[in-house]
Amino acid sequence: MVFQSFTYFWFLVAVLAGYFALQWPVRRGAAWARPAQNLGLLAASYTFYGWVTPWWLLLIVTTTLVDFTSARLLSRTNDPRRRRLCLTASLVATFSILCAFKYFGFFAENTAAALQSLGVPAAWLTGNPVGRFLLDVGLPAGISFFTFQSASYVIDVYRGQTAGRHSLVDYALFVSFFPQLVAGPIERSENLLRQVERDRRPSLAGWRSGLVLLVWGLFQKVVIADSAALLANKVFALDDPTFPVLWAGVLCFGVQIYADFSAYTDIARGSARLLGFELLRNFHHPYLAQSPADFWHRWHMTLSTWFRDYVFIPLGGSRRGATTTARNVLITFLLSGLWHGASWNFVVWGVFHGALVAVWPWLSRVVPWLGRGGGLPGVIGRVVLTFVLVHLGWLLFREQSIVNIGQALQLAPWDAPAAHWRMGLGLVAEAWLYALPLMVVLPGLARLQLLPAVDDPRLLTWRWTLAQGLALAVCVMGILLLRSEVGSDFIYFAF
Amino acid sequence: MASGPIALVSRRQALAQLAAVAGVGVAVPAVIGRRLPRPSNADDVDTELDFNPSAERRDLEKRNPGWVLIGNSMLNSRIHSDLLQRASGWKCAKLAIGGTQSAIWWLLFKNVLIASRARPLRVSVFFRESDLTWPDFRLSGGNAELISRLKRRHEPEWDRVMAGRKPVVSRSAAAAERFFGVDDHDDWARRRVQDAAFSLTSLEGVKRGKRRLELNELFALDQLREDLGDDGGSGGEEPAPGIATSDASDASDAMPPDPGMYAQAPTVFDPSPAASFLPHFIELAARHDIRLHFHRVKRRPDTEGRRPDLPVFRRYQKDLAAYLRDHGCAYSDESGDPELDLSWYQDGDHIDRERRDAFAVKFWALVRDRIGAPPPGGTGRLT
Repeated sequence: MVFQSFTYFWFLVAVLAGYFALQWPVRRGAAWARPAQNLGLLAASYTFYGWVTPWWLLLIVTTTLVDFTSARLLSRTNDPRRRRLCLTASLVATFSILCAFKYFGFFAENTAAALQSLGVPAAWLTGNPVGRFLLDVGLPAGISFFTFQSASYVIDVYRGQTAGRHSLVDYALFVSFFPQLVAGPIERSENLLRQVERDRRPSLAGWRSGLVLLVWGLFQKVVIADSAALLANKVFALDDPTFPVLWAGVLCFGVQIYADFSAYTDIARGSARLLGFELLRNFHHPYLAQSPADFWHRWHMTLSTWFRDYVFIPLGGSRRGATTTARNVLITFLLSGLWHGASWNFVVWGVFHGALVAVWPWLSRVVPWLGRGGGLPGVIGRVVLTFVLVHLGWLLFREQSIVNIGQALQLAPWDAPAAHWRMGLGLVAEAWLYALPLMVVLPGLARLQLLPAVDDPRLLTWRWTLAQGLALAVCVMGILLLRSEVGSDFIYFAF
Repeated sequence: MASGPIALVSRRQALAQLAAVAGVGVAVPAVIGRRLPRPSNADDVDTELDFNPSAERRDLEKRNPGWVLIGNSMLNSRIHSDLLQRASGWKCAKLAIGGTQSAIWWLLFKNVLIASRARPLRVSVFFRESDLTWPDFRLSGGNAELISRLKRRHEPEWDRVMAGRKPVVSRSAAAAERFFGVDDHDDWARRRVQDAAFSLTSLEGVKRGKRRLELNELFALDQLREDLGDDGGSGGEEPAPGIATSDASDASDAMPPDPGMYAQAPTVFDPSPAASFLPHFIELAARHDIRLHFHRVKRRPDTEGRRPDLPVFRRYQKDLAAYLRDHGCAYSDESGDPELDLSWYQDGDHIDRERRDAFAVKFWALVRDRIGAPPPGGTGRLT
């Protein structure tokens, strides 16, 4: 089930109706009411996930059972050896499922190529029933997200940062909560699981902001992201693009991927808020980042913090000298690249970003304005440079063929006819016109401190009520008038 | 969550504020949507690529053809009006737009030809497979905009045929569009955005029409990667709005023939007035004393010149031919012509334009008995 459909709208209406039917007993303190609500939400989440492909439920149920049991065992023993064993078994089992479904094709293809180059037959790799099944079955939606979310809980229990839970239903709901199940935000137990375990008190103010957030997310998807996707897809389908057309396509893709992912997050957060849950933020105006590291503090923040907490810091973080730090950064980003997809271009993309983050501090010593200072020109310079580098990365991300990436990087601006510059500029202008609310208006409002938080008392004034109503009206009008004719799946469904 | 601030206002006020947000969010678009001017037919026209119904009507009246041919690029690639005129003696005109299908042919017939003062004696419609009874084929993309220009406010035949054609879930979308009164405006609005983008980047004062033409050429089918096929670039089977116009739609017609293109097509001939525009064509033509002729084109043959019917369409074609004859329409079918071998074809089902001269002769020989001898001057009747 996809968010940008009336199916989801009616699904959400049905879920809210059932959920709020139990809200009155919850408020009155009935002990059975919240568990019943959670059970209902779990059933809704499994319905949501298995809507098109019911057997995917096997994967999420298996992951849930393995990690729930592991955490229970972890919390029952203090023996370090047993605890390590328990954690290892849990991680191996959980990540085996992810690797089998996500990386088997990549592994088989490259291993077969390597074996064949050595003259060793490799047909057995994909010729067996399991191999054929894994190749044919495709990537189950959201598997990377719920695997990471579930694994983080087990690691937190192992570290003693959170307690092993007793309620399987609560834990299963934490892993499968439908608004964020397929493409995040990747939640932590200290945020989402805690909310699952407590009575929710959805407020009317929360409903207002949730509604606006949900419709704003829809606007980002069907107006901005899908419109930019049309332009980017056309460019990346060209056999022989010129420099200005190709880079126009990259810039359009930059709009697409940000709007697409931000849209999913906002619809997820808006849907959750209607139910009284508050999900983590995933974006903070990423194209205003002033360095590659700053970009990752603003882009897919829940994934960045996951890798920071569970990969970078365990590797030693930045405490063991510059060289080790750079190595840790590179490893972390290499894995982050692989998380995005089983393809060499994602590996290259991850290493590219890792190198940028690792090298930037050194460069800042040579070119001081890269680090800080320089006044407004310095800020603009850093933002522009980061923007350009991030978009160079988007080329690596979008173009899956390494050969084509190589050819694209060899294109020379002076080889393109004037008409192609005209077309390139036109494409970028069109994509950015659609993206103005996301790229310009919203950061501007944030800069002017005109975007209050969900619990800001200002929201309860009539002035802000009217402002929210008008914002909703603009989004609705935009969706009605400017929605793209050709829709597409959310990009991060593929991860 | 947010339980602190809620204590600052009464529950009644909070509820009123929630209702106000939802009310403003729905009411403002509804009021604006209903007041938006309907996209006009003439105002949008700024390029040679654009189809201008008013200009076409004027042109038809000026030329006063005796025989008008309607269709898409199948017709365009086969027939040149002057060549057919020379071969047949009839004064010919075409209403042909690449990538269009029966819904647009109906609107062309009703709102361009019949709405003009021109009254040809014969009208031919070129089609493939079950195009004539597949009214919801190719309605999006550039065609949606074309439809918004061709449709009038009151279209009872359209409403009858299109009613209930969308899946259940889309009825919600249709209801929403009706409520907000903006069902005709999305392509119009998106075109305005593209125009604004062109204006913002108009470095040398190049007109919008030329820029659209440049984009069409840039993203033409032969410019795409071989591994991506026809729709790899657009993410869907339809031409991309804002980029592709009639030329790109032509390209989609040029795809190699395969059942896939007609995989969703009707395979049972249904003559009811709710199933297609065909009965409405016949009724309207009869009212204006026009003899209709339907011509089935031969799809791209194999190297030996064969193009057998897809088994699922065999019964359909028989039923269609019988229905047309029963209703006084002429019917011709070039698909059995062995002389139309691969050498005649350029791309997809398109005939090589260099052979249109020869095709005119061949076509006239096939349909001469059905169309009949031209009147003096070959012209129609101006009303």
